[in-house]
This record gives sequence, C-alpha cells and structure tokens, in this order.
Amino acid sequence: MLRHFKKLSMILLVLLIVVIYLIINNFDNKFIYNYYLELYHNSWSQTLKNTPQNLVRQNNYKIINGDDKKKIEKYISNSLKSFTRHSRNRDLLRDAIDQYCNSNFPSNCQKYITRYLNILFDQKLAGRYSAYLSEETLVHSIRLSKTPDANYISLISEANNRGILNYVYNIHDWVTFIRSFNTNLTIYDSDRAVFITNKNKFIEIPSGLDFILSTNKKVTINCETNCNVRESYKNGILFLERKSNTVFHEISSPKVTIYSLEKAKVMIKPTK
Amino acid sequence: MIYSNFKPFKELFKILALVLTPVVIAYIIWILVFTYKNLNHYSSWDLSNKQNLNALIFSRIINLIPNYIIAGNSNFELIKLNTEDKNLYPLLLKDYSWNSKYSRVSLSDKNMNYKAKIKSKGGSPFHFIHQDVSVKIKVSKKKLYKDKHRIFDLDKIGHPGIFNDVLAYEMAKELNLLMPEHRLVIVEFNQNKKFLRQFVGSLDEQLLRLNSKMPADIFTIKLTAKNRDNSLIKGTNGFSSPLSWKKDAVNNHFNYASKDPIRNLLNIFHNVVSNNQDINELIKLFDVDYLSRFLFFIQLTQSTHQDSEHNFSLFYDPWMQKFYPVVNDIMAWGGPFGNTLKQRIPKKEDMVVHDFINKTSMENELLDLLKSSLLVKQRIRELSSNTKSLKEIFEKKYIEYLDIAENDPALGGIYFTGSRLTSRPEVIKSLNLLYSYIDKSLNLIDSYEQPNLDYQTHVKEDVILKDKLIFYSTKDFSKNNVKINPGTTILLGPNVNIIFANVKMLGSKRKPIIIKRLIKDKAFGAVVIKESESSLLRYVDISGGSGFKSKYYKYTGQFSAHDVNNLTVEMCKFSSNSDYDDNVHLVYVDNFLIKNTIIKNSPSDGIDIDISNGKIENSSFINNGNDGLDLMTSIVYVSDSTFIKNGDKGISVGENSNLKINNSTLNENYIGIEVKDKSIATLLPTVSLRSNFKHDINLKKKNYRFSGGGTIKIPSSLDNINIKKDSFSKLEIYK
Repeated sequence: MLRHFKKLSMILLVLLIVVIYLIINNFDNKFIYNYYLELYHNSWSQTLKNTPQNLVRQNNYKIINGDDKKKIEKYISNSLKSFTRHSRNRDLLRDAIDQYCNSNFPSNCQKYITRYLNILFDQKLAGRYSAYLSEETLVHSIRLSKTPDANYISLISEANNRGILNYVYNIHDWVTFIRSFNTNLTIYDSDRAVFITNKNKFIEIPSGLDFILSTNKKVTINCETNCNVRESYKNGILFLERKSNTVFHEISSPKVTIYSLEKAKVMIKPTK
Repeated sequence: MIYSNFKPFKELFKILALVLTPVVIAYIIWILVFTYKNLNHYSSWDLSNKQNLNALIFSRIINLIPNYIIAGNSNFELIKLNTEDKNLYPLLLKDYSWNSKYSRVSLSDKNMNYKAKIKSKGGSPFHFIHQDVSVKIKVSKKKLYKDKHRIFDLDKIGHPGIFNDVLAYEMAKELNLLMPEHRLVIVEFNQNKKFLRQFVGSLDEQLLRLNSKMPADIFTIKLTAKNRDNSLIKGTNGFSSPLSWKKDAVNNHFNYASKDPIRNLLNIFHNVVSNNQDINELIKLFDVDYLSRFLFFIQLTQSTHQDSEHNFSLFYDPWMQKFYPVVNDIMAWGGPFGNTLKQRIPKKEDMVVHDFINKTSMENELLDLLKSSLLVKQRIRELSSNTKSLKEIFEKKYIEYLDIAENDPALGGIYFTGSRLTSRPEVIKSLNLLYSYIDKSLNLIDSYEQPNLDYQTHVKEDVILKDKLIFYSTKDFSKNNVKINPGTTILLGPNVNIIFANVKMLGSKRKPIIIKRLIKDKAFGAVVIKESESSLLRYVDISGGSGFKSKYYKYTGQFSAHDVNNLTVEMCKFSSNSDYDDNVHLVYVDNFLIKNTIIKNSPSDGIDIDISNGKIENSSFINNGNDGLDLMTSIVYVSDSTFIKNGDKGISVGENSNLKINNSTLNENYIGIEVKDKSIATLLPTVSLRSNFKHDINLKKKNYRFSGGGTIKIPSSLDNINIKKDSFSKLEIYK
C-alpha cells in the first residue's frame, strides 16, 4: 500500500508543480476564455429573468409608475456595469433606456445614454435623445452616423442649436441613400428629394427608416405586416408617413414597398 | 529512495495525496467546464462549426505555453518596446477594446530611442481570438520614427504564409499604386516576447506626402468595429450614403466635414446602376490607368478584403479631379491559408485562382461596376500582356524570402501565426505554395485575350483662336488641341475660367497674346492647363484674374497648370491677380521651363510650384505680396533671375524640395531665401543676396511631417549676409 502511495505522491507532486505553474501562468496571461465570458456576458440569461420585459418590449411607450421606474433603473444600471457591445441583452437594454427616458423625470437618462452610446452606437437612440447628449457624445454620435435619416437631422440640428458644429443637413445624402435601395427611381429634383417612378414599379423604403412620401398620383402600399404607415390626403396630394414611437429595430419595422400604378413624381423625405 | 523509510515523509505523502487528488480533479473539471461554457458562448456567437472548437482548443493550448524568445539574432529589423508596467503587453490583450486608449511606451530600434504611445488595434472580435494582437504606435511629433512615421501599426501575422502580404506590397510598389510603407520586423516586448510582425505605415496625409501626392482627402468606408451600428438599416453598405465614409486625410482648402467629392461619386454610381447612365461618366472620375492597375492588383493578389463595408479607401486629388483607390489591409493570397478562426497549410488543389476581372465578385459594388467598363477591361488586358517586370520581381523576391525562411533565426523553433503553432518547415512550405499560387494567378492573367490595340482613342480636334474673343461663361477646350494666334485678345467675364489641355499660345514681341478681365473691377477666374502632354505660352500677358473654387476642386492661381508634361512659358507677363493664393500655380508639372518671364504685383505668392520639376531662366519676380517663388516637393534650377521687393520670401524652398540657383539676385525681400523641412538649396558663387529686411537666409523646421530643417550650401565668397538657423537645419559652406 505504502509503495503505491509513494508512486502516487510522486505523480501528484509533479502534477502539483504543473498545476501551480499553470495557475500562476493563467493569472499572468489570463485565459482567452475569460474574454469570451466578458464579451458574451455569460450572466445575460440570469439578468434576463429579472428584466421588466413587459415594460419595454413594445411598439409604443408605456406609462410607468414609480415602482416600475425603479425596476427599470435597477435593470439598466446593473446591465451597464458589465455592458459590452457583445452583451446578449443589448437590444433589450436599449429599449429599456428608451422607455426609461420617456418616463416622467428621467433623471439618469443622460448618464445611461452616454454610457450605452459610448460602448455601442445606435443612431436611433442617439437621434431620439439628442437633447440629452453631452457635447462630446453628440459629436461622437454625428461622426458615427451612417444614414441621413430623421435621427441624423435631429443630431446635427441639436449640435447647431448648441453652436458646437457647423454641420448642415445635406438632402443630397438622403437622395443618394434612397436611391441605393431603388434601382428604378430617377432623380427629378435632388434639392427637394423628388423622384420619378415608372408605372407598375415599386419604391422600397428600408426597414427601420422613418419617412414621409407625398405624391399626386395613385400609389398603393405593400407591407408584410403592420408597416405603421399613416395615410392622409390634403389638396389632392397623398401623404404617407411613418414615424416610429419607440426606438424600434428591423424586426418590428418591416420594409415598406410602395407600388406605383402610374408614372409619378414622388417626394420622399425623412420624417422630422 | 532516501525518504522511503523515513516516517514523517510517509505521513506527508499521505496528506499530500489526500489533498492533491481533489485539487487535480477539481482543476481538470474546472478546465472542462470552462472550455465547455466558452465553447457554448463562442459557438452561439458565430452559429458555427468545428472551426470554433479548433480555435478554442488552440487558444487554450497557446495560452498555456510560457513566454519565450523566438527570434534569436535575426536579420529582421528589431523594434523594442518597453513599458513601465511590465505586464502591459498581456494587458493589451486583456483590455482589448475598440475604444482602447494609448498607454506610454518607450520604443527603440538599432540607433534611436523614441517616446511613444501604444494601443491595441483591430476592429472586429476576430482580432482577439489570436494569441497576438496588432498594435498601433504613435510617436512624438518632435521625433518621427525613422524621420517619416508619426503613426504606424505593428500588425500580427495571421497565418503561416508570412511573406504573402510583404510580397503583395512589393507588387503594388511595382504597379505604382498608393500604399503605406510595409515590411517585416521583429518586435520585442519588455525583453520578453519577440514576434515577427508587419510594420505598416499610416493611411493619412503622411502616406500622400511619402508617395509624392498633394495633401488632400482620403475617404474610407467604415462600417465595422467601432463604426458598426446596431441600428444600421438592413441592406446598407458603404455605397448607400456618404455618411459611412470617414476622412483619413483632409484637404485644408475645403471644409473639414465636406464630403462633396464622394457624394458626387456615389450619385453618379447610382445613376449608372439605376438609371442606365453611361458608365464612362463614372470612369471619368478615375484615372483609368491607375484604376486598371489597382484592379489588376486585386486580381493578382486574389484579395477581396477591400470591400463594400471596410478597408476601401479612395484618395481624391482635386488638382487632378480624380479618385485613386489606396492599397489598404489587403490580406493577399490569404484565402487558402484559412481564416481568422483556423489557419492551415493548404493543399495545392485548394489553391483556386478566382477570375475577379471577368467572373467573381470583388465584394465591392463600385469596383465590380468599374471593372465592367470596356475601357478598363482593355487597359487590364494591356497590363496582363506585360507582366514581365512583375514576374522578375516575384522571382527575385521569392529567392530572397526563401533564403530568409530557411536561414533566419526568427523563423526557428515553434511559434504562433494567428492561432496556429507554426515552425520553419511550415513557413517554407507556405512560401513554396505561395509560389505556385502566384504562378497560377499569373497564368490566369496571361490567358486573358491579347489587347485589341485599335480600340477607339479620343482624337483631339484642332481649334484656332484669334483676334478678339469675349467669353461670358467658362470655356472648356480640354477636348481640343488649341492654337492661339499672335495678337489675340481674350476678355473673360467675372469668374469665367478658360480651360485647355494641349495649348500653344504663340504670341510675338509685336503682337503679344493678351488675356484680361472683361469688366474692369471684376476679376475673371483662371486660365487653366490640365492633363496636357505639351503646352507652350509665348509672349502672353495675363492679368486681372483670380482663381476658382468649386465643391470638388480649386484653381489657386490666375494661371494654373495641373498635370502637365513639358510646359514652356517664354517672354510672358503675369500680374495684378486678386483673391486667390497665387499668381501662377504649377502642380504635377513634369519638365517646365519658365524663361524671360515677369511675375509681379501679386497680392500673395508670385509663383507656387508643387510636386514639379523644371527650370526658371532669366525671369523677374518683383513686388509680390508674399513669396516670389514658393516651392513644395519640387526640383528646380533657377538661373539669371531676380527676386526683388517680395513681401515675404524671395524664394521659399519647402517640404523636401531641391533648389539650385545660379547667377541670380535676391534683394530687398523680407527674407531673401528660406529653406525648410528637409529641403536643400545650393547657391552658386554668382548669387547675390543684399538688403533683405529680416534675414538674407533663414533655415528652419516648420512641418513636423518632414522631420527636419533645411540645408543650404553657400560659397565661402558669399560674405556679409545675415543668416538665421534653427537647431534642425544645416549650413554648409563650400569653397
């Protein structure tokens, strides 16, 4: 028996040295999987359970009471502590911040938004709450903006109001942007974003984009689900407007296709 | 064994066995659990496959291996990085972030020490799967790295094909493409870790200066990493909106935020795609020769890493009014060697050569459209019929690299490329595979049809201008060969430009050609010569002009010559311009001769010469508001000329210029001659410098990018002159 112990202890001694070395080495270098842990936020499933999801997953804002507000605050600040751009709850967190900032007296709104946007830029969130952004975050957001949409307009007009930057909204960027999705639109007047569409052709408005379309000719809207588009007539001109009430993402905001029954001049502009 | 009968040891062993067994078991479980957990997260992140498992296991093994020095006495250039915090290097890996901030580091090479800052680099999560991270280094403005680089990258090598990229950059150099400096170096961190890395110069204004281009805008599509937007609209890419283009270099003649050139490009691009506009309208925005070389390079290097979302950079040169794609992060011949997750030594049959020119997409919408142009196709075929010099370079470099691969200590032992453990035999094997891959690639290029050289070239029509002409709006003769007869008078309305390509203005002493303003107190725009093979101005008197600025370009002189070979200006007079910077402005003029010409009474500079070379003979520069002659990155020989009463410098020699001046006079200027920023001026004994108000000679460093002051060589006979010199500059007196 003792003989076995001797052998075993020798092996264990060697193993012990290896283990100590490996542990020290690991502490020095840090295992790569620890990054994955941080990056993919292994606790996201845990936090998800405690989330007031019912308060944030929606198309419109909810009126929330003081208790709910505290719950959301708690969720947001806990999530932001370990928030990275790969956190699994990033969309949920963004929606929670959106809901929170829409509640009464959102005292921490600026703090939350700044932290969120500095880690993960979101043009819709930035544009919607441009008034809450610090100067630095505002400039940062303008620089990272990709689409010349209503949110971008909001960011640069906020910057102009504060006298920070001399940016001017350029409608030609919008024209370029809309045309990149539409192979059949011809520019009629690029200064006013007026296009010509041919008979029996579709105009595609990408998902997640707020717009206002006006035309004096007949068009029909095609949508897979609710497009959230409001239709109105004024002086014989048809107006189609989509204006999202929350910072929604692509899933909840399907692509809109507008079918032109005849050759028509259409003006498509970002919603203000 | 001594201890076998020693009782206390027996007890100790018992205890050890009891304690250690669970520790070891726990450790094994710990590893298994964490590996499994990570595998789970990792897999769910990438929705992937076996590769993730391999990457993870490799990463685990790699991180268990201790640090060791691999390089030995390598022949590669050594860059040493030392940090105050000795753990900084692994920390860089730990704190990997796209918002990472610079930390202080001291950098040294063979001869010099530099103060520098370091941060981790690389946008997507792919970049930190590997053991090694790429880093960005920034040195102080006061002391540039090798007198050239303010910011540069030390990039990790991603796979055993160590020589792929460096060879591709050699090819790019041969094709005369715009590219950052690139070479292999050994980087040592805190005298501990040594890695073979790629030195890559920065993609900014410095790249343009080092490639002898005028400093202007470089636009790059940035839609990944920190520029990734999780609210990005589906389907959007870099060609959807100018907002996704960021500036890596800025033209200070225009608004910092202006993206007008790229907006114009995208609009035309969409017109071609959507509205069947002629593709030649788009091609016009590019230098076709350059563009063809770039596309040829993509085909040769089998790289699609400059795609619609990132890494695609365009330099817009407003003096040429053209775009030039810049070679940037190419990952040449990289595909068969695996990807970020797994690197491999490919099998020969896996090394498929794609035909990007005719079939496969370059994953870049703009390049895919441009390559379909017949004109571009034609040029690419011409290039493909002349690959001799490329093949020679390729053969030469292959032998050189093979020698390195076989003998350099840096490639001995076992080390990591990406997340693969590699050794010398693998590197040699990869190089040999690369050889056969490039050979295949060149064979495909050779198989392109031979060029049909009788394609339609645009023949310029001849036009003769004579008598008295009045132009109320801008007149463009760039599609004509123009001859202007003696005695012609051209009157130009307010802000009206007249643009020529090849022009011969043949005035005579008795019958000079006069170009002047139509309305007395309203200046005309500019007289412009651009993209000219040869032009001549003889007995021409130009006065009363200003310049011209559009959204996309600017003519800063009342007479502006851009991209001209062989420009001769004889017996001319340029005077009384207004508003803009220069009276005469030459940019990219190869071989000019200015002879018996008078340039006087300019509000600013008399003549501004940028990136050009030529001679000035027997001319006078009198009473100009700023400099009489202003040089930037030019080589000029001046003889028998006078520079008198100029408001600033008689001659300003700046930004790496070279001036030789003979038998000339520089009197009563504010400063006689100023030499700065690595420029060299040689004054021959027959030069006279008198009564210059401030200094006769001023030597200084002005622009940090040139990392040095001016040098002047003066004869010892030149005495009684007032010289001012800073510590960066050099005064050489010869006998």
